[in-house]
Amino acid sequence: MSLLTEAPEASAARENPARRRRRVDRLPYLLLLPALVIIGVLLLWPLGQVVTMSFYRLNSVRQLRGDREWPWVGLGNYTQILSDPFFLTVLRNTVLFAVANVLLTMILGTLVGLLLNRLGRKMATFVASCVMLAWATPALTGTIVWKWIFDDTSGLVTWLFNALPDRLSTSLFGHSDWTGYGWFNSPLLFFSILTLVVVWHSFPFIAVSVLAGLKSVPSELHEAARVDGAGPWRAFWKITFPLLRPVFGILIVLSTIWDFKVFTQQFVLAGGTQDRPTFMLSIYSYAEAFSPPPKYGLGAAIAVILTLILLVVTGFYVRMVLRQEDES
Amino acid sequence: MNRWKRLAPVTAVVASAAMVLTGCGGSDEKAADDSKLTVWMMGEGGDAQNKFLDGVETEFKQKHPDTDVVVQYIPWLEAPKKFQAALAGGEGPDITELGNTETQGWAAQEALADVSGRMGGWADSKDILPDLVKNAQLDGKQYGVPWYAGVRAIYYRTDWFAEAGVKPPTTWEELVSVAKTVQAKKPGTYGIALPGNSELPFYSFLWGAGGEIATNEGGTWKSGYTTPEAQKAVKFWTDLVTVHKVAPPAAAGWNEIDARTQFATGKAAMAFAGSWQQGAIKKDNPEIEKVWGTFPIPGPDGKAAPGFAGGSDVAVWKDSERQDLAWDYLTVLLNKKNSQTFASSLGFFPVYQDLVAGGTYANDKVMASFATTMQNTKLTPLTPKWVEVSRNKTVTQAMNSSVMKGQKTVEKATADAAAEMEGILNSK
Amino acid sequence: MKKIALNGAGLLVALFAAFPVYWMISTSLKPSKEIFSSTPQPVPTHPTLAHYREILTGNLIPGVSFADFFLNSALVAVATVVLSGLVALLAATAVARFRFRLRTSFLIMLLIVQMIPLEALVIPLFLMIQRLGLYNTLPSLILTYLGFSLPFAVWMLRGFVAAVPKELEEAAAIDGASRAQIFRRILFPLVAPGLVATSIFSFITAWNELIFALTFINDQNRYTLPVAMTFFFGRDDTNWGPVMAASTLFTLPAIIFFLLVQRRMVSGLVAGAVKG
Repeated sequence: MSLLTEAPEASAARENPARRRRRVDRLPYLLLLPALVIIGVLLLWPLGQVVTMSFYRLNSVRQLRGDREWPWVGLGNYTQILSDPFFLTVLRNTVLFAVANVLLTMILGTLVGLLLNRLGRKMATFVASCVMLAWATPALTGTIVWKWIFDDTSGLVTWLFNALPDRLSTSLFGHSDWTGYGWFNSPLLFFSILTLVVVWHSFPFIAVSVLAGLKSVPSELHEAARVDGAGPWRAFWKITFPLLRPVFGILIVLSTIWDFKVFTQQFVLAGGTQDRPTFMLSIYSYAEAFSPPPKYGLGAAIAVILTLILLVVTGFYVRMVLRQEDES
Repeated sequence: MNRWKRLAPVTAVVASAAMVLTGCGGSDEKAADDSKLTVWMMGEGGDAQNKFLDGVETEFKQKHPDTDVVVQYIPWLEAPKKFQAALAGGEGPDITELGNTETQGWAAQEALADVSGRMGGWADSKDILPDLVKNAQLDGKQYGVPWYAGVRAIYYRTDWFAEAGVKPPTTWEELVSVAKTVQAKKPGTYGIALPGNSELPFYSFLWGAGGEIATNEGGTWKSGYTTPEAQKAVKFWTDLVTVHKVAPPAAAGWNEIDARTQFATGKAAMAFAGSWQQGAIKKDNPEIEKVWGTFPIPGPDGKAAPGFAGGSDVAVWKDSERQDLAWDYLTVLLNKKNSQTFASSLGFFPVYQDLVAGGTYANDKVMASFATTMQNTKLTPLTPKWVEVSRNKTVTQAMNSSVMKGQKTVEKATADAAAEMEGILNSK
Repeated sequence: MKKIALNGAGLLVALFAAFPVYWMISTSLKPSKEIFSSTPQPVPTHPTLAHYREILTGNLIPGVSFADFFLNSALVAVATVVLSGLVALLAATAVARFRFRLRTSFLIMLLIVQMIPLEALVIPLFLMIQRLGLYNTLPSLILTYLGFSLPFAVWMLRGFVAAVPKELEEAAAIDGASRAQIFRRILFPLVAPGLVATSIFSFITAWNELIFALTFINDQNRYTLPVAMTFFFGRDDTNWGPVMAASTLFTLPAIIFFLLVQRRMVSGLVAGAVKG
């Protein structure tokens, strides 16, 4: 028990824990206060505003200034969105993309974490530093570079495919000239490249976290497993995974939250809000709200829907975290 | 010194945090003083533009010696957001440049001042190309004044054409055969760099074939995309990629910049581009100047096709408290002399009929083709809803791309596009 | 044999992770003609600093140079990092060292607020910033980024706080130190490395953000770097050379920051995830 948790004078009265517990210590609340105020004012209050806006028809900037009436439409914006078949496309894109990206990021991140744990010190430092580069690259510039790599004439990928032996390329893809190939033409290809970009950006965090978790697993456990003749696969599921379960839990929650909200990478890769077949919820909300003519009410409603979906999807994990916190 | 001033805001954040806590806010105190006129310009400016605007300011100051002109540059890509913020916050400019396809939309958002009266009292305005004037109107009122404009034509490689023994085409058929011939002669290049994801070059084909985007019939908009003329245009445009293969599949996703780059870097024999793109093309490849030429976008049968005159308008900000000053600045900025200087420096045309028709352009090997089309322009539908069709839902671009990507037939794509367009234009 | 396979896999991972960064730098050093060639050279055959010169000398937009944007971004990022670290440390101490009634609710809230799509907050925050009289000031951005970065900062930092052995505090208390003294002399120095590590996330938030920077700042002298980057994508112009050079300059500080604190971060993450 830390002394910071007790008023100093109370430490003298340690033998009487019951009395101490009854005192409400105001210190933790004081420490929390600045954070609570900031989160409340800068996140929760605006969120409330967004929810409010979603019940009005807001198609003019003048309304935001209060120069014009706000016509109440109740759930009108929501019914309009949900009854639009386009919403299904957007929802499908969002969910499939998030599932694929969470899975791939987790798998790749975990494998790299395991790898880093096994590598020699020099090699591990080298690989970890390279992995850090991907993490440190801002989403904006990282995506610009990937877009450049997939450029249809001077891009590296185009060149690589052109370098394939013609016969092989023709038998695999039906054509051998890749110059001018539309890498972003079909939604499937677009999402594959977007996945590549997002996984590239996000696997380092998983890898480093998993590595950190692994370092905390006593190595004797692994030794023991090895003596028992367990292969690496079994050892992972029998020993490593159960020990790291809380780490994986929180990593999955965070990844899910992030991958559902991917915005910058898509915005840059698609060149703005033009490519509607590849819309996902966050860019859909943004496009409806801000592309002229603005429809702030609709945009707000989509944002609320996205938040609700995330709450439901991660609700299970959040409850798990809650239980864990209560136990600890 | 300057650096230290900038540090002041950082210390202010502590104070601001305190303000959040106490819930009190600053009040906007704004006195209508005439010491400063704020002008918004699009893009990153550049030394030439800077110098030009300095000259305009000097001229403006002869009448208003006590007013300083402050020019702010706004990135094109994000201009709509800046406008919305300015409008919502009441902290906009006094006068602004804006893309001439956007004027109606912002007029509908009540961002711009009605300058119909002022325009009537300004002699020079009589000479402005009427289509451009009309394009800056909403419900019969004038919300912007055309500043400069330009049309698209086709750039081509004179050396490659000579090598292949072909001349600039004047009909659709010739366009295809020339593209094929040059492409065959120059392996590894495309006949034509086609911006499949742009709408404006396509409209020249639509109009050339006698089609219309949409017409207003007694208050209801009707799309012309389902007519045989429009379908013929869509078929021709997309066939260039899918049937004739004189442009690559990637062209379905190209915008005009992509297409232009192909031409500039020697990967295409022809490209659709505006006259203002000369500078950018030369920047990518300084050598190309020696071997390029232009010809007007052909119609199906030998007549040059009409084009859309894109460019910029200048508008007075509705919330401005210095609208008289703003208008005075506008008339200096847009007088014929300044107009000609600036348009030329950008590779655009001035908006005055007499200047466009003047002899300077007829003898210019690049500009002549553009000058021809400048006198044969057409407009996109005149309604503030158009921007939703054009920018937001990109109806036309999606229609053409979907055919090029083989996702839809011409009939299905045009029918879908027409339905979507009518839905938007006629929505309440 | 196994070792070779492991090292090989390590090299592959390193290549995948680092290659785009390398490619960005490499492209930025190529003359335009080489950039647009259809056979890309792995290393620039005629390396040139022309694109950097183009960006760094002269003004990106009239009156404002790249260095000005850089300084604005640095000011915003540093202020965000410092403030968010401070506030997060207080909150993390509360969560990691105390058991109180609203503790779990607070943690859950930290997760939930991260689910809000931030782009949707532009309008309410804009109106608030305006009412506070902060429109068109860098503090408007600092405040906004503080809000955005705080939840995750607290979340990370509580692990670092929890990892500090409580015995040290007990010993200090026995020596008669007050709570404030314990906090300042014992806890703070021990958590400092973690604080640095956590600051990465706040730094990234502040360094990268575009949409709010664009909306809240009117005066081009106060634009931040991401806003400046958008000027490279003109109405009819994208120059890959300068774009890559600017991207490199934009990325470099983030990379340096990362490499400086990476070791600290690893140890903190483990504590954060495992000890809760």
